[in-house]
Amino acid sequence: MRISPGYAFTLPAVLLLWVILFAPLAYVLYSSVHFNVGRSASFAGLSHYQRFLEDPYFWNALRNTVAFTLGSVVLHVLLGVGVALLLAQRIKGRTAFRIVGLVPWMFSSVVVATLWRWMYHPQFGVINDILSRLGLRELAQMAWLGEIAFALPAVILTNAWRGFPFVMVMVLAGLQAIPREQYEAASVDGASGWSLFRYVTLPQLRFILAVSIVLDTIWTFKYFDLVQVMTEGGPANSTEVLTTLVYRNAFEFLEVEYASAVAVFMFLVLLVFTLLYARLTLRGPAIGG
Amino acid sequence: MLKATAGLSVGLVAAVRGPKAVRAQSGKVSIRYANFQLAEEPTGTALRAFIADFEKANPNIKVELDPSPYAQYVTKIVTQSEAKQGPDALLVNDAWLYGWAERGYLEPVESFISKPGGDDYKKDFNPVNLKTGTYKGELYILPQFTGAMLLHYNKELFRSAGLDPEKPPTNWTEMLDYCGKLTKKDASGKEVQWGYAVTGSKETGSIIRFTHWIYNNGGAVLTPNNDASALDSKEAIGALRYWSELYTAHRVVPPGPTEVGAVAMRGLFAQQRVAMYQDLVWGLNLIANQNAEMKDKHAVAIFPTQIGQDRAPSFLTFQGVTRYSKHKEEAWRLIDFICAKEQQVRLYKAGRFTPARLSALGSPDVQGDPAAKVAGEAAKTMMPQPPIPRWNEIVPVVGDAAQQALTKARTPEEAFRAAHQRINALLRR
Repeated sequence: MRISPGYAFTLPAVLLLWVILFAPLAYVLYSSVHFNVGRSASFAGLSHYQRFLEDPYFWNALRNTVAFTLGSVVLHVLLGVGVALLLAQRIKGRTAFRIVGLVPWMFSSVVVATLWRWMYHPQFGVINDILSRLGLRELAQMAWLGEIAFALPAVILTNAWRGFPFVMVMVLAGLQAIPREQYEAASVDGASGWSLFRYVTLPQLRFILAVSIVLDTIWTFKYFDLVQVMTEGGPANSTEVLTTLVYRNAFEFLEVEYASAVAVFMFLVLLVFTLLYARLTLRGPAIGG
Repeated sequence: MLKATAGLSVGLVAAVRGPKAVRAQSGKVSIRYANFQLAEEPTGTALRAFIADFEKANPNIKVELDPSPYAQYVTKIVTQSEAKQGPDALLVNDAWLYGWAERGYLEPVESFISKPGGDDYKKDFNPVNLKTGTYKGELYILPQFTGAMLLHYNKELFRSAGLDPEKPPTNWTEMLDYCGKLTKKDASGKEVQWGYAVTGSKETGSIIRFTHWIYNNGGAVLTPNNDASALDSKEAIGALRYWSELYTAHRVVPPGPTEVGAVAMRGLFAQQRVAMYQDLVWGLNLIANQNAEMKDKHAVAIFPTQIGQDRAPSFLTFQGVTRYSKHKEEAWRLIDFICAKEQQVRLYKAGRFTPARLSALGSPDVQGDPAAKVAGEAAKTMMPQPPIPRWNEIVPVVGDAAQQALTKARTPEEAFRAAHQRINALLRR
């Protein structure tokens, strides 16, 4: 039997991909339907998945993950589009401002988490120092990451700062691709300000915004390090997200099989968004007009 | 072409599998030793010196060090052990022991102990450490350090507040009174000093510290058989109420206690922002490392108790051999060397790590230190952590309840009754 050399050349890459991508995935799937993986494994069926129903920590983490993802993505889009529109103006020092706008994106999540954790610090943080100088003494004693009501919003705000440059860069690129003639034609028809944005800019950005939102949702949904470093899911689980729940179950409680089931659940949710992303990118900008 | 591809593929698989964990080089056996204290001082320097001595005494053994910091230690050990690629010997503490033993990461050490003298050999170790290291009838580790929580206080701040520095609080009424006197405001009315540092973070160490308050009020987390929660008792709920109200009602602790863990707590004490905190005896050295001025101001005492006797939760450190080691005998020789009397005395002198070996604890080098006597006294009545693998899951439930009370999300009664039900559900699973 003669095998095409093309297949032979690609075999190492295919093997590598299989080992790196599919072997861990297969192992997690296997682990999620077994007891005692790695020792005397026995088939567990869907019992680890059934545990979701009675595990209040799972539902709490799911709620927090949805809130964290939704809050972060909305703020990324609002800040990203807003800053991109400002930076698209013909202003002096535009390049410098664009570089500055990218700064949050340049830091690793752990650095960002540590920076903001210090900024939020009740005694030594810059936020409480400013509040104190403004005479807001009660508020200046606030432990922003230590209070159930404020911890999740504080983490979302940090993630908004860290993640908006991605949307900003995408939108900036999109803005540059809009032909000037369309603005000129709309202006001749009497459009200005908001109506130019509403009827010319926004329709042209629909594709880029859709791709950005889907990608950002995927990234944010599985975000781990920011939450882990800032709050470890506390106080009282008010910032526990699915990724930190998986981590706690696998590494602290040694419930590797249950952690695998939660990870598979996350994989299935993200698969929906990944398929949406694939559909969007395969169909191309036509959907954006 | 196909041959080349097959060769490449085999090489690829070999690369992914990684080098064999143990390599024999010119007859030398190489073993890997993991210990987060290698990444800390003064333990890092001391342990490296021990291992150099060990290699000199055992020229056929080469020890490869794995100095993962504490924050990554558990993640790394669990990942490696699940892949059956763990180190040969490692540090284990009592918070991880039962889960790791149950999961099959650790090798029982009884068969090794029978060689140096069996029961006579074991007699030299603190019985609480040995009991704690025994799981399902098998001893899994060799005890290294013993530790009970003490009250650390700043004598200078006591004097400034008109308190006798030789008479630290012994019960909770005195504790609250002292905390009130030690909490100070500046001229503008801003609080700048507090009586005590409540550790309300999610760290295991913070939660175990909190259990000291439950024990010292006559309560417990679990029933004596460790098969049900005991958090619904009036003693346990009373302890949570007293502890949380230090912040929520009396404001004698720094703001944001749910963010305060061991590092923050020691930082506040070293900067003289809090007058009292809860730590092992080695805190004396850790604080002096941060602020040398504290050396003469810092003292330790038995923790205040409501039941006339201290019942400090144990903080024990062990050395173990892993089940997947290919050179268990050599790994055992290493941990036996590390836990020898001479090394334990050296580590006490370097950083006040209280020896688990009675001969080391009784040596003049250790007993000459007044703090060792206080630590030894507390160790006599310390509470070992419950020997059940689910303890790792129970501790965060207690921590969540503590945080709910500190943030007033729930009253202490509601928080502990919810935790009680949750723990019972966990134990039934």
